[in-house]
Amino acid sequence: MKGEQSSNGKEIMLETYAPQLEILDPHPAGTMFRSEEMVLCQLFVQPEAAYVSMYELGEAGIAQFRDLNPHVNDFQRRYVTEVRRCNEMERKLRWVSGELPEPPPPPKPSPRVLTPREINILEERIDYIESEIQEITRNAQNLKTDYLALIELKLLIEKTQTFFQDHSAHRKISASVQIYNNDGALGHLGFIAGVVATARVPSFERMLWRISHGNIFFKQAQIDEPLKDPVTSHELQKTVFVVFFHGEQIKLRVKKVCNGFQATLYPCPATYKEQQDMLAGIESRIKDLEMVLEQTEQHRRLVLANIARDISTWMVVVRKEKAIYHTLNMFSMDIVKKCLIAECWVPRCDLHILQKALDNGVKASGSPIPSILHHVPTLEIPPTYNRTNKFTRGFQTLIDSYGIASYREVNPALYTIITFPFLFAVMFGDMGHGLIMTVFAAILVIFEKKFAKNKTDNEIWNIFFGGRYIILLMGIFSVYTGLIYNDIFSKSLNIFGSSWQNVYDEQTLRNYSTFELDPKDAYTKTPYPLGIDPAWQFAANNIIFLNSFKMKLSIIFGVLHMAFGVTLSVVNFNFFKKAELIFLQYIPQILFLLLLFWYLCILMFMKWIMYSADATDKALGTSCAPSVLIIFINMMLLKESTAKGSCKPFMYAGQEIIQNIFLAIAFLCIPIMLFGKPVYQIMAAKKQKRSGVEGGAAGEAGAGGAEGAGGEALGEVLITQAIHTIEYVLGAVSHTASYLRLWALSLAHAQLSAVLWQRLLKIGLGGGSPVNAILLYLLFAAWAFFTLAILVLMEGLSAFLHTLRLHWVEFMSKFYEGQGYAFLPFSFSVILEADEVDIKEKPNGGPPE
Amino acid sequence: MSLLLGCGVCCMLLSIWAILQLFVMGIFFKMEVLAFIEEAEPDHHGYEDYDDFMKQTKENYQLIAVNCWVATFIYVITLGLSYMCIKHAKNKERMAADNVQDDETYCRSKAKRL
Repeated sequence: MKGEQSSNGKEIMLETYAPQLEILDPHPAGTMFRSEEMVLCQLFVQPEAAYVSMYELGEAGIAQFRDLNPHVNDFQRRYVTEVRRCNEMERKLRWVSGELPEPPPPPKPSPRVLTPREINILEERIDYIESEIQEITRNAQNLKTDYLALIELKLLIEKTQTFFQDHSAHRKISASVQIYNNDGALGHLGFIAGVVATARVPSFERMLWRISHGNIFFKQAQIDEPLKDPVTSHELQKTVFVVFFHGEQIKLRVKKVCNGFQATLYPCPATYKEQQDMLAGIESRIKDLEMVLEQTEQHRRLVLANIARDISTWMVVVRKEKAIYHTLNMFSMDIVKKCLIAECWVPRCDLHILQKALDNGVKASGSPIPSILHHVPTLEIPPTYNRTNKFTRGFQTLIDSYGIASYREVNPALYTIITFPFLFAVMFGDMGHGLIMTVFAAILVIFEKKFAKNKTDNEIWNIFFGGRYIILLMGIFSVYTGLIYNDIFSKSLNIFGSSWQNVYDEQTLRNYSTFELDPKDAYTKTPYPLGIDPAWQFAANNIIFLNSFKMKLSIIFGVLHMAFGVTLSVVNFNFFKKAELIFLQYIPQILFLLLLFWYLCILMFMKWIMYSADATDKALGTSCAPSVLIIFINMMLLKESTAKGSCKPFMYAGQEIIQNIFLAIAFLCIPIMLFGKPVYQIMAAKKQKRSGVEGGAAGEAGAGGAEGAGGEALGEVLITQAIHTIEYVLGAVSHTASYLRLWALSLAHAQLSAVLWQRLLKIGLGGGSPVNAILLYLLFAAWAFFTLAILVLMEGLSAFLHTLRLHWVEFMSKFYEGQGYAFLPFSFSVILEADEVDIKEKPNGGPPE
Repeated sequence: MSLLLGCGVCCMLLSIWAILQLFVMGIFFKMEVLAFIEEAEPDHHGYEDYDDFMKQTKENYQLIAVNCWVATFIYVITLGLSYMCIKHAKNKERMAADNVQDDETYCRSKAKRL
């Protein structure tokens, strides 16, 4: 089966994963509806052709290779020398880029693959550059050491001039020194001069005192400005010292102590004239050295500038090569046929790219033996791959954070694109804040190319930038819900004219301060066309009314969202050919949910429609409108309702019977959920056993084994099914209530917004003289800051989190399995990005200048 | 350095927002929009009768409108100042970058510092 060559070197087998999937997937490639179909391929490539093929595959990023040598040590793999060579080159390049004064320009895309010969040339060049820069640096350090010595000597002479200025001592000392040239002689003083680190001076002095039994004279003077260490560039505080002593023995001891304390000794002339001559000489030498140092530095910069242009490109080339050899190490070598064997997962739609890469490799290497691509039918679970673009990637990441979808199950990310911003907006509804979010996200999106270029470590910025499309949609939807809630920075807009009117005469208006507007008279019978009527912003019962409205709205959205989630499981059952589960799991689940909670929503709709202030029938008036929640609770507890006053006990005729029927059917669904699937499995196993018995003795042994195993699995299936059923039934109640957070957060948002306006901005709008304008100027800045910090950022984050929770727990628990693993293809862009995160450009060693 | 730039950008964004919002609010106050009645009405006991109330409210509306526009003008000045801040910060950054580029100054300073 393996390696049969046909005339054009290709052989394709039609069998793929999941042999029960006889029909090829009708959906075209690359939709977000479900993850892509993956194929396990086996490649047979010649070693010469392997490099070019892998280069093209790395650019395309379509194949995930499996390690065929998992038990082989890293150091025993085939291409270990090449990897080591690449590591060396990378180290040298990194060192050189550390020497550059500023970050190098970004890499240019290389037009073609580099042949191994060209890579050798590159390696030699990098070697040469590294040694050249190291030599320059070494020379510079030597020069700096000499420079430091000269500076110290100059400072030493300048400081010791004061010591020798005492004229009487001067003659005596100079006389002895002149004759004996610092060699001590009987009766005359000798001296030693040098420079030592300031921190060591006290212990140095003490040691000298001890070893000389107090027979020395120690003078010191600190150098004020710090000197720079030539190697490490650290700053050093140094002190000039002169030790006067008498005798040869003491001189030797003093010299030993000086060595121990790492003090540098300098030949210091004793006479004033000699000192001046020496100083003049030193000055000229210092000037020369400074010039040489400057020229060395310029030369170094020139060399580095020449390299800076190309270094990023070389770095990219070296990293790509290292990645290719790492992957080639995963291939196994077939000794007999002398070719490399690789196994990889590839999406079915990208197979032609894989084939082209192999063909290009063969062509480039000029090998007569073509590479072979071979599909392997397997029962292993392939990785999950969702093809995304820059817009859908954010939403897919949100879903993947909960769990990668199982192979080819329906992908919730597609619907998240709309439901996520919508549920966020229900909690965030304010036109002003929505507008701020939209503008911010629009700036990020319009300038995304510019922002993508600066790679920063700032995680917060990366999170906001990565989610810019999500934020944009959230902002747009928030403007819409702000329009519906009629809320812009806690004020309402009156666009169409309010539908409420004044019904009181002027006398009443003047005498009283609060009024009640009965909708029977004060409502003009044509509703406000879009959103909440602006008259509500002045109502004292504004919150009570909005509570009722938003709570009902939340429950309706919640039941719709959950019903949609349960229905998505049908798509999975259909695709995986488990039609029986539609009847055993989906129907009971959806009936349970709809008969109880969609009935609750229908009651809400009925209450909105049937009861009104200007109803002629008193039983349909406002005082008789029943509490939907009480009706629902009574329904569940099978309680009787009685008529109160002129109100009817039920909303419509036959309500009691219908409610009892719904309750009964819903409760009947529970045992079906509990036992449906296990019973079906038992029956299916029995049918298999029967057909196994008819099939013969061999079948019987197999079927007997299956039944034994089936007995254990049955217990497990029962327990799993019980857990799922309890989770679903209890979840239906608790998740429905959980959607009330849509109401809670929108209430909190509206109230916070109102507080900020009334406590901050309203004070600035006090009127009066134009001097108040300055107060308005300051207060507006404060109000804007708190609006951004509290309402947009804090509330926005909070609403985002709650929406995410609603999706992950309430929506996806109804159908999502999430047991897959991600598809991680061999791709240069991923590897280069990961490397850049680790390697930061910083100077090699030393404190910053 | 980037502190000045950050300050400048923040002030610029705040100024743009303030100019837009305060200008529109000024127009709304001039139009005596009902949504702002609670900002414009006089105190609970600051008026004697209905006509006085109406007169004071209308006056307040006009005064607040003027205040809003004056504040808008101050924010225009702030916008100009912040723009100059940003330009100054960018200039300084460019000069520092140029200094590093220039071989003579860079090498001399590096050599001088031992």
